[in-house]
Amino acid sequence: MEGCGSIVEFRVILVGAESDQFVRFATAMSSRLAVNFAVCRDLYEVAAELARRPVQRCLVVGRLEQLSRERGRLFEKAAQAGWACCCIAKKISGSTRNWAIRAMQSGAIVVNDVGQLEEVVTRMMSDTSGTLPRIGQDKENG
Amino acid sequence: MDSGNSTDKISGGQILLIGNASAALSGVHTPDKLPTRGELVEPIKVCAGMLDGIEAAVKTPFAVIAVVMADAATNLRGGLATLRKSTSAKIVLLARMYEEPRAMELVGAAGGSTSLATGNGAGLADDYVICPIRMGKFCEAIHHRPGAVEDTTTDVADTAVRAKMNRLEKLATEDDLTGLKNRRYIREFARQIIERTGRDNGRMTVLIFDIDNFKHYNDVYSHAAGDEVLKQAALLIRRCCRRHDMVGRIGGDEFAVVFWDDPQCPRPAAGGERRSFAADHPREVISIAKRFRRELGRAEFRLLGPEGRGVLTISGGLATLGADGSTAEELFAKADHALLDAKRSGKNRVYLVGQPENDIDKIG
Repeated sequence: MEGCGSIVEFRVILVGAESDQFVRFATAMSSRLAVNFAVCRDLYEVAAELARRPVQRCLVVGRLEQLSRERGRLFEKAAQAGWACCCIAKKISGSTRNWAIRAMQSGAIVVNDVGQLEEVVTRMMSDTSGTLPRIGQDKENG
Repeated sequence: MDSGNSTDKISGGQILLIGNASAALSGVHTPDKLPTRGELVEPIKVCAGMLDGIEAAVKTPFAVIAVVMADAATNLRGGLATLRKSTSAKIVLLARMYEEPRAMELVGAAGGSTSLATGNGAGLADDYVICPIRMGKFCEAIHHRPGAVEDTTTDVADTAVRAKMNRLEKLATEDDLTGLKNRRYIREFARQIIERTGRDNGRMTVLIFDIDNFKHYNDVYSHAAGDEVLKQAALLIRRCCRRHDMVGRIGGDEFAVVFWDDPQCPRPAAGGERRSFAADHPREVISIAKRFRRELGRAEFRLLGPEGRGVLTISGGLATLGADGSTAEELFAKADHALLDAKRSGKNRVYLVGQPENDIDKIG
């Protein structure tokens, strides 16, 4: 599934089933923000998509357990290629804790609510450096 | 089994190997070239995982993509589906013995040969080969490209050679009389399962049994009657086992079964006995052995005359990985020893190794 024409320079890859609630939310948000986006069913489709259409600025969004598959290889590849990853994890406990640590060590951002995605995307759109914003950093800085 | 002298070359592209190459190809440690007849010919690119493999396959047109089933991807089906959509390369699966049923399913060629099946391209893969495989055989498998335009004469010759090799392979791994796997195959199968259980904490139990008084049937009722007994017993044990368990004939009237946990096997409904995945080993195996003995007791053997129903019994021994041994050799030896104990104790019983009350009929 392909998004609408891009105004901004970067692309969002949503990882999950189209029926998934967060994918529906993120699809609507991307359309509203006029962000070029694609939906990939799993990590394998992400790999194919990014190999087919390489982009310099890219944000891969998916559930933490989904993006952490294949021993977290996506995070390593993202770090090498300069893509950004945003993992959604409602609750971090047990095994997901290790995944979250690994993701963050690779430079990925972990959010616990899909509502925070919009902040991530808008900040990336406005930041041409391609680096991921820290969610809530304004509040922390007072 | 292995010609080892394949001279064909793949035309129009390279080979991509996804997964642990050294585990799949015997004698290969870090291949960057594919040797045949001692020469280095086709370059081979190796990617450790499916994500890198897919990226490489999209960026470069490969002629053949070989995928090691054991470790290429956490979701093999998903990875293969994307590979299939993203490339026109021939996809060959490198499968362990115990992965063969799944490989056949992915190729979409149910009922293929023992080690090499050719799909029609409609499946998620085109071919599979059993690992560890020698380089020569790997070459032969990947050189055969369904749908490729080839010289007709060569094609006919290739088909004949392939058929002959498949026949030879069948002879080398199967028992002609019963159609079960032979001793060599089943021991190698057990060895591969043990190697696998080391990785995923799986379980395995070996059953060895023989037909009580088999010599008597052979001598009194003829060898044809003896053959019928063996064939019927083979059929019954195959029916009583789960689909993924491996049954073999390892001697005259001696059979072996390797029971193991196949993660691909669906969990049964509560109370399921035969297809149970989670039941304790060897508890589930015991119920299979009991079922087999019951079925054997009901079976009718025409060539044994009017008394041919319910006369056949077996004696057997069960050995479980971990508790009774850590290698295939140890388990087979222990199970064989338990079988001898069962014989000495009066036959028509199956013993567990090392249990105080080791007759399975005494276990609930």
